Amino acid sequence: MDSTHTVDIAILGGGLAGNLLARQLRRTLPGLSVALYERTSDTSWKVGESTVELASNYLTRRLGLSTYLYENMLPKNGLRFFFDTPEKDASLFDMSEIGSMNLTTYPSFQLDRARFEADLLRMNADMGVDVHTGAKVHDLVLHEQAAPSPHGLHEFSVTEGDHTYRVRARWLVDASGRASLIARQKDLRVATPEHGISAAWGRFIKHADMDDMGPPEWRQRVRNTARVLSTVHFCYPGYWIWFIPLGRGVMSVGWVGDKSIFRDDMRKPEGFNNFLREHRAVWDLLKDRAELLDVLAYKQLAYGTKQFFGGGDRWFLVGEAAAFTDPFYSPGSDFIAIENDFITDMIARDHAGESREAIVDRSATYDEFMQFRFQATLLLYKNLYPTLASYELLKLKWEFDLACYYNLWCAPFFHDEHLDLKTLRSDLRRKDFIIQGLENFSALFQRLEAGYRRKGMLHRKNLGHLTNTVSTIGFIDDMRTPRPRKQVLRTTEAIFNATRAYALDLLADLGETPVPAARTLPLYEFMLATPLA
Amino acid sequence: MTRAEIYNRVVGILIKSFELDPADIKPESRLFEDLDLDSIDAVDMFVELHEVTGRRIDPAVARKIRTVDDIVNLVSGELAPDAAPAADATSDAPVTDEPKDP
Repeated sequence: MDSTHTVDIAILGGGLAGNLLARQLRRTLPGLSVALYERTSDTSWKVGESTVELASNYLTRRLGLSTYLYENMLPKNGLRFFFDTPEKDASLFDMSEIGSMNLTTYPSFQLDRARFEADLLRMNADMGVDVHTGAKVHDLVLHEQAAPSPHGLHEFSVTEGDHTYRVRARWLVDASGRASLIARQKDLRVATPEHGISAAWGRFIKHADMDDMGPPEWRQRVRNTARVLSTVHFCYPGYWIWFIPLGRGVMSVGWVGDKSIFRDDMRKPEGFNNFLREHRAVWDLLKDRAELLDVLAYKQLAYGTKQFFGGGDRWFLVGEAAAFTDPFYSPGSDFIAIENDFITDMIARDHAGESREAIVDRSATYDEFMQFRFQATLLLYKNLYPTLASYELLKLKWEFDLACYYNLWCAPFFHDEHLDLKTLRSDLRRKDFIIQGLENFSALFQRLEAGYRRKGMLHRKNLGHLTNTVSTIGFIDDMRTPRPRKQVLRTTEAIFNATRAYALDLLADLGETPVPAARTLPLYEFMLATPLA
Repeated sequence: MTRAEIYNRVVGILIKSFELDPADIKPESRLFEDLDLDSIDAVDMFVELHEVTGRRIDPAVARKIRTVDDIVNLVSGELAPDAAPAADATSDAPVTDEPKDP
């Protein structure tokens, strides 16, 4: 043991979460010293490339990365979904498609994580963060009220090469990803057997260019905008395959689906390629000329945590060191954005001398909000992978999910309402009702899927259709300024009714009579423990 | 809570949540027509009632609420020691003004 270093804030992990937090802390609290410890020496390729609007707002507005992102990463053209036949033999150009024909209203980006994280490490070092790479953290001892350390600080060892030293820190942030140093030590991990999905993914080069193939009409129907810049989802019963461009000729391709469909050989290049080959449109983009650079897999993606923040004891979890839900709508960096805002706020308040009791109280509220967001996010996916089979059903679900995302999650974040304790508490009082509403819609979607499957209707509109507008998001221009709470709830009512009305039409196609038959319902009816139709 | 206490509590919620004039609130006041509440206000009201009763609001009962007295009946029903939460769920009878002893 060579020496002991003391730092104000120690961040364990130099991936996306840790690097973004380090940058935020330097910009917000320049008087505090920040040290970051990353286990690997080279930033490696990682999945989680797509950002959505909330995270992009954080990157541009909070972290000042707008120009960097437009100059170095790719702007994202929203999400795009393609649908296939039961035999998986449709040509890409015949597939039904859901996707935009213009770049999205609010910015979002496709990140090459390896390049982005390497750049962030360098920018952070330039901003005065004490960056350590190839630094393995071990022998962590938390200083907590229940088990105080004699010096009143958290302490851990760092080994760099053959050199080991101790570090003491007033605030400790675990951004170590699935290594989850604090969560494992404190036994915080919560399994989510109710959502058993797996993933396998790889990077390709020399793939075909989706924007330079197919009939001219197919490209013109999206006004020759770049489909390639979208997060492209090829949708199948129980799973989907993504294409995400990383720039410089590299394409991330991944599979996510029900654990029962996962095959162990998908962890290997040959098995992964063989699986992709079973899907004509997917394989037309890769064929034998594309080279698979690497492949990785996780058998169980989702997990929760009993606690995100120990504000009173000055430790915090962020990103995958805390929890993960599902990559379908790319929520990972949204979680990081909200968590980093909460962590920075709590450190700032603690540093400014706010009482421990006040911080404990705030930490509990922030934690409750994260648990709410986790629960609501999981509801988007749990038991709903079978609906991916159908253009009609995913269109219904997508319009609902997107509108709820903008209305309930993005807009409050854009105006920092998540950092206002009074607003947050008011939102949390309605939490159970919102969750009940989302569960009611989930049940409705599941009922439709079961009916469609029973009658062999899942694939009936999977060829030849295109949707490029979303009827439920007419309000998004209003999100530039804060909206009164009542307006938000009115928008919620409109989204719920539009979605239910569309669902009633699909039920009618199934020959099912809805109860109640009313075409519109008052908002509270959606939030009671009763079926929506 | 006695019925009178529940009534006062409900009136208190209506005044606080919707800035109503106490003089306008009577047991027979109709929520939507007389007090000018709307479907959004109703969500806030149910959130408040949920905090009073600590129980899930029974959908069948909730749908029948028209007056201030209906709310008092709902709360007193849910606070009754042995009340089945869905006491009125299957009945199509209108909610009455009969006081229920807690």
